[in-house]
Amino acid sequence: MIEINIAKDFAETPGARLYSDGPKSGQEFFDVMLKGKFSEALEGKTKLKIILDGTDGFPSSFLNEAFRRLAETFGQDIAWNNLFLISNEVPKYIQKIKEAIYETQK
Amino acid sequence: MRHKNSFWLNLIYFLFGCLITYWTCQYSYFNIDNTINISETLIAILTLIVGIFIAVSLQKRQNKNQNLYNFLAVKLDDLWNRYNSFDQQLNYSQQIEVKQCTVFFKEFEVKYQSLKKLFSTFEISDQNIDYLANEMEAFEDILFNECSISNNIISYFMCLKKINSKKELIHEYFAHILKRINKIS
Repeated sequence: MIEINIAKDFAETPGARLYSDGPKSGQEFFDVMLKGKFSEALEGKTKLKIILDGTDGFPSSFLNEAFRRLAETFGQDIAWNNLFLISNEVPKYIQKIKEAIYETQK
Repeated sequence: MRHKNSFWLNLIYFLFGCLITYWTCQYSYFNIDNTINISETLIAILTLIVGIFIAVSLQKRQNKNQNLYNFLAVKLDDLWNRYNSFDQQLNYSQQIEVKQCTVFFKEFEVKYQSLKKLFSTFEISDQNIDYLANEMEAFEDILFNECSISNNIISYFMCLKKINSKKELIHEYFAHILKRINKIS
């Protein structure tokens, strides 16, 4: 399984939504890390494990932007079904990611 | 001097006691019955047992409620204090770092979930707990999605009115939850 530990691999303090909001945004996370690793996982027919614990917390806009873009790029069901999310500290983040992925369906 | 005073006081008490005893002995309506009525005695014993049982169970319930009240009150106090300190931070300036907000919302969520779990474990129904979570989410949305952000600093001057009304609403829900907890005691 391919893994992203956001606190270690990207930022302990994730930023807001877009590049224009400042460094370490959700958009940057998608472009720099999520998109590539997710493609790698799909090619290897495995899931992408994302560890959300260990950060200073996520702005809702960060999660929304990154995973909304993932769903737009790969499709909602493919995106959701190929993720393995770990969030022991704040389980609510998983729900937020799901909402972001299926946002356009609402 | 004090010793002398207490002697006279004790003498007065003693004489007063003698007077009451003498008067009581003269009272002819007291009639002491030496026989025992079995049915009345049984009823008296039964009444005593029921009385003790009621007193003990009421005391137990009172203790249980008091413990639960203390437990929940401490948790709510902790959560409300954390919220208050963030509220104060927002009052001092019109800008705040994204990091300060995310740290606060994460801490709040962890403490809130712990309080909510206690409410559901002890089967205390209160919709205000859910309303509080909804309002916090809306509050978070205003900060991250409606205010302008640059270099990971949120400027909330333009949405100050919205933020202030949301903050007041959240305090109201805290107050409702506190009232519900007070009812337990």
